[in-house]
Amino acid sequence: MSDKSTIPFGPQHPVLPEPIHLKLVVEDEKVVEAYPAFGFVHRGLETLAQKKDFNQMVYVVERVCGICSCMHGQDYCEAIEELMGIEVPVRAEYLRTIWAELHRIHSHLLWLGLFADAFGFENLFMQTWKIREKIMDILEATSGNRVIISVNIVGGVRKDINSEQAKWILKELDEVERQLKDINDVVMNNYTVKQRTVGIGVLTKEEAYELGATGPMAKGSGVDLDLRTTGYAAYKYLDFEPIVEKAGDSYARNLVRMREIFQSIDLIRQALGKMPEGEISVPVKGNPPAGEVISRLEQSRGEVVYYIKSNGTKFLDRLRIRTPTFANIPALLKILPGSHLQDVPVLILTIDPCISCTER
Amino acid sequence: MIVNSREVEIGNLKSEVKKYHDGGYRFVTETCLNLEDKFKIIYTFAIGYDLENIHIITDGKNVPSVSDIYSCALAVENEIKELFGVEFDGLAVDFGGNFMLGESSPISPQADIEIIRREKGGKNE
Repeated sequence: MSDKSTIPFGPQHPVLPEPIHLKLVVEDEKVVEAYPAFGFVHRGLETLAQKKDFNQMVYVVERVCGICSCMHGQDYCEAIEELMGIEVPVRAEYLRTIWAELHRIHSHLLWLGLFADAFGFENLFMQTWKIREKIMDILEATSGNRVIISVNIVGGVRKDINSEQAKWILKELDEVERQLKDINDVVMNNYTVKQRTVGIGVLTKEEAYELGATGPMAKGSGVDLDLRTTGYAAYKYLDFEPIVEKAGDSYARNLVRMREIFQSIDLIRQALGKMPEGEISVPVKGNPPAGEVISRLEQSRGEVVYYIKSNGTKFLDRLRIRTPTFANIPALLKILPGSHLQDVPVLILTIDPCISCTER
Repeated sequence: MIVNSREVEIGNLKSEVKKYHDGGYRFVTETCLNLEDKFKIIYTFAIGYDLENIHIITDGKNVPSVSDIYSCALAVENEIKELFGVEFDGLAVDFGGNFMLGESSPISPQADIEIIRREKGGKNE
């Protein structure tokens, strides 16, 4: 005889880096229903757009989330630049791309460490975070800060990368790549990792599309969408293809993220090799004209959508941020029912949840 | 992209959204804006990398939910319901005000109507 019982999961839980609450209805050890609740770190940042001028808002959106901060700033600036008809110097486009890809690497490595820790693989957690430190060092050396690097401004970027720094970055990336290759076999072929990920939390391509999933969550299910291919920033000058896997399980999502790290290293090498000399910003005068704009880019977790409505003053009428984790919640709620209770922490981490982004 | 959204009558909203769904568009998001005593809700869809937007103007009452067409819309509609106080009819899953906000949170914190009411010392309904 089996009875249904309800188990609260979070908001404080050892595997959760940020607070999310799930009400899990379980029958024996199997999840039959899952209901989420957020709001533990809701800050109302969108509303601040009506009280801070549009330049100050760059700093606010960078604080939507630490891990995605650089790309939040970039997307916001690109939206304002489109509204104001500002053309950013080509060198600034390259610099934005380099910092964005560095963020993608450190985000994926951070996720991989947390994911490994979720099923007790502490050594892998330690190794991935050790490798990640090299990326953090590059961020610090080039921007002056490790996490919230504040390089984007409306009209370009505020920091440059000189030729000495570029050489050093390439050397560091060689070392990061070597170390990643060492652990790649462990991540993708280890018995424990496979037992906990292969065939677990399957999301079909149709489900991923229908549920609006994005980023590695969608790419791991065969959805061939990566906004970088639209050619924003310097991606139009670089050679790459979206990374897509078809199995739709936790393993496929891991594989996408691992392969994206190597792809990001390649993109940074290309960008550093092709980056032209020149200005890194243009002067910006006046306020954004009245109008509405939507700007999107590919964050580590997927598509982020910025909607901005300007009224012609220095304050915006409305700023709305649709983050990738928000878009992936319906997909998470789809893969949880039918799973074993022991897999719930792994499945939550498999979407690489960013709760700060989700709640803003 | 500069937004150029098409206004749709509330009565035609679901049939318009169904057309996008049947045309292979994926649901991106809904965005709610304050318009003095009304709300504007923009629905954004994508096919490939191209976006299309439609919008409705509403007083915030009895807005038809599109979560029966795109089930993923339930998350953003619950968020709009809590942050702006917009009432959706036929929401696939109604989190009862506990999706994004807690019981002690301010009511409809992003709705101008509620903010004006609070600043004037009026009570929330």
